[in-house]
Amino acid sequence: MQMETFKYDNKIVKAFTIATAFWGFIGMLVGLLIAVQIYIPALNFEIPYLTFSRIRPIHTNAVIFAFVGNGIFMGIYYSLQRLCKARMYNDLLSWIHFWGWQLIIALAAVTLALGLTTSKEYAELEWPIDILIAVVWVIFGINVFGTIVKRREKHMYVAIWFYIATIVTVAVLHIINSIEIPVSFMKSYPVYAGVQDALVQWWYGHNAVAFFLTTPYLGLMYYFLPKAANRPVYSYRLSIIHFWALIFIYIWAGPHHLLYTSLPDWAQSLGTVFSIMLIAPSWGGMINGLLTLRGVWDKVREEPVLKFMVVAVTAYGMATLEGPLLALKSVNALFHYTDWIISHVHIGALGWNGFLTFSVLYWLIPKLYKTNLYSKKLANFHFWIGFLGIVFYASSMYWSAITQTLMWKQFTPEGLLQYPNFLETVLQIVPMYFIRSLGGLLYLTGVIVMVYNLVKTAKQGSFVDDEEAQAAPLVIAHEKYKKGWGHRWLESRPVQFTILTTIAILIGGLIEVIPMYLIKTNVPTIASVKPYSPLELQGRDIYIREGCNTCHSQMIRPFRSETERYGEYSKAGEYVHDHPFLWGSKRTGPDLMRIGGKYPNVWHYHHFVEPSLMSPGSLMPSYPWLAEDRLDIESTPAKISAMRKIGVPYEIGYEDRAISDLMKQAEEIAVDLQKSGIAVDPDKEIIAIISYMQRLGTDIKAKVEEEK
Amino acid sequence: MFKQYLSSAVDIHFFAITGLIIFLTFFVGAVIWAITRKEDYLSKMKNLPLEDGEKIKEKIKL
Repeated sequence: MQMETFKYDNKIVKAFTIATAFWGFIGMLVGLLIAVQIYIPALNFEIPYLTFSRIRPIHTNAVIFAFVGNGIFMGIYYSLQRLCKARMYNDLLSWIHFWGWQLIIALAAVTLALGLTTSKEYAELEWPIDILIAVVWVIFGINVFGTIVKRREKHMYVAIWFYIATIVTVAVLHIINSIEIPVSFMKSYPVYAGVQDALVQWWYGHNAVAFFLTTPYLGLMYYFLPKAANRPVYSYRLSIIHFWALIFIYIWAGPHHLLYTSLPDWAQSLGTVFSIMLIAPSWGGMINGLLTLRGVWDKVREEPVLKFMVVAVTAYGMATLEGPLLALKSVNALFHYTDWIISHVHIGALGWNGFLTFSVLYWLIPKLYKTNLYSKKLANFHFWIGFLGIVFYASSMYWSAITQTLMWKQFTPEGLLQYPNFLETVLQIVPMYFIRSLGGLLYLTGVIVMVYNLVKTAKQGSFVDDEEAQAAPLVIAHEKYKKGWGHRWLESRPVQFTILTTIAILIGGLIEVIPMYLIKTNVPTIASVKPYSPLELQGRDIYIREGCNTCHSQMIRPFRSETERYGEYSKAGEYVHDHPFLWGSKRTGPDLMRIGGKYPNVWHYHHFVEPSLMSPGSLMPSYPWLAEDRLDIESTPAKISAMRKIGVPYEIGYEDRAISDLMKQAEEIAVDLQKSGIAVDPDKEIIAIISYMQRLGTDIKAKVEEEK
Repeated sequence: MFKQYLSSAVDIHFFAITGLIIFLTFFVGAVIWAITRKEDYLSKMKNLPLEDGEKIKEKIKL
């Protein structure tokens, strides 16, 4: 057989390893900062760009898309070439992909700090960056499929299936969740409103976890774990079932993020059922990974690479058991909006993604530099300090979640809330926040030690840009397997495989989303719910810019403990003009759905400028710039027009009167504040956001009064 | 728009039943597929990551 000699591109892999380590450090550093800010709010230094609600999305985006994102590309560019026995399709595409992705990350960091955000979790970036992401992702896709097409190995190993599913699904999710109408450069509104927007967002959000943090990393697990253990995967059959069951079921589970909300009940139940079913393929995958190590457990004791892998795969198993349990309505009723969710995602992020990335780095760097790891001792130290960090992080957040949810739901014998002041339940868990930040510090210390160890390793070795390899060309191999059928037929044909994968992931999404569009009765309309006034709309955009939804929900669930605390539970019809929905997913502060009319304007004024004046001990950061910055009034007509285009019933020509209406309402609020001794110009941003606060949840009250 | 036209035409149970049937068919199909694979094929696939065609063999051992 005529062998071909060719070269693997190691240089691009090296670039991604550096980016992975660099952004990992940055993302975790920002995480540590916000972990401390949550109990020392003054650490925002009254600078908008350093405020918790703006930089928390930087932390999540940096860890997901910068750290794990580059980790995915590092692993794929290394393993795909070797599994296909071919160099990447095109070097130029590789480098455009690399620099394009780094550019997106840099733009994300800057724009999120500036408050340019859509408010949708893990999809916060505004429309020009959304387009850039789509372009770079397609370039990545072309490069991967090009490599698969020119491969010398007939069969596609299971890792490649996971890569294909990732590329296809992330593209679909990103495009559908980013359908928005631009109002200006860097500002847009989603075409969906309220309940529909929530469903699409969490269909996206859940599957960002599934197809960005899970499937590509499972691909890496199926490649790097056998490599590191130097033995094949435990069961290839199991990996086939793992793959198809996982990608098919995952896509349905999104609505479990919206249990007990105003989402129609059938959609909630669907989310729960599929979440429970997810345990099977997830644990199948975990067992497949762990059993690969059967017979070599002695190696696990000595090899830091394997230690990291064992904990990573175990954390995957724990997180994928915890997720379905949290998707049970009764469990969700207790722990939604609490720190349990934060702990859950960090078992995934620190344990599964973090530790698997570290193991791949510890394995890959010596390999790329043709040397041994500089210090196993330091790697072991990293393992233990990182592991301890996870334990501190998770246990403190579980404790905090249990404490707080019990306090939220505790009634006195007289039937009143025992802790009616929300702040009391927050102050109770501050020690847990402190321990959490300690866990984060330990974890970050480990990362710094790793970087030192890897740099030392690189220095003692010699890097080979292009690694020579040999394999027989595919033409010859073709004849041999011509008669294959079934899955064998399928997995040797990337196009058919990709089409089937796409169908598998589309079914769940379509069956969930289409009925929401078709059936009007799913969103009962309420006659008294009217569009926002121009000033309230501007105020709402400030609420979005400052990221208030990071800590405050706007969704009162139908429990007595919530209606007692916050007021009438939320109805789907109340959100029909909300582009985007702002239900939130975490209550670091209280729900704001019925805040309208609860306090006078002056209370809100003081509370924005210095929260602890109104609520002594408050952990909310101050937003003094709202009282100083001038509202961008000129943007109002464009916003009104954009809203009308996506279905909000502003009458034609209203945009021309919007500014004068806005000024009229602003002056009323300014005059009211003046009576309380606050002199503030009506064109300040704080007036707009106060008007939005006072509007929240009041439409339904107007209806009640009418009936009376 | 089109939502109004279709609002009365679609029965929600249709989606639920269709979803269930598609899922079961898909899952059973995948299981049958996996079970009927021959041993020689499985062992070839399993060993793919371990044969990467690199000329310079591992100088380091793990």
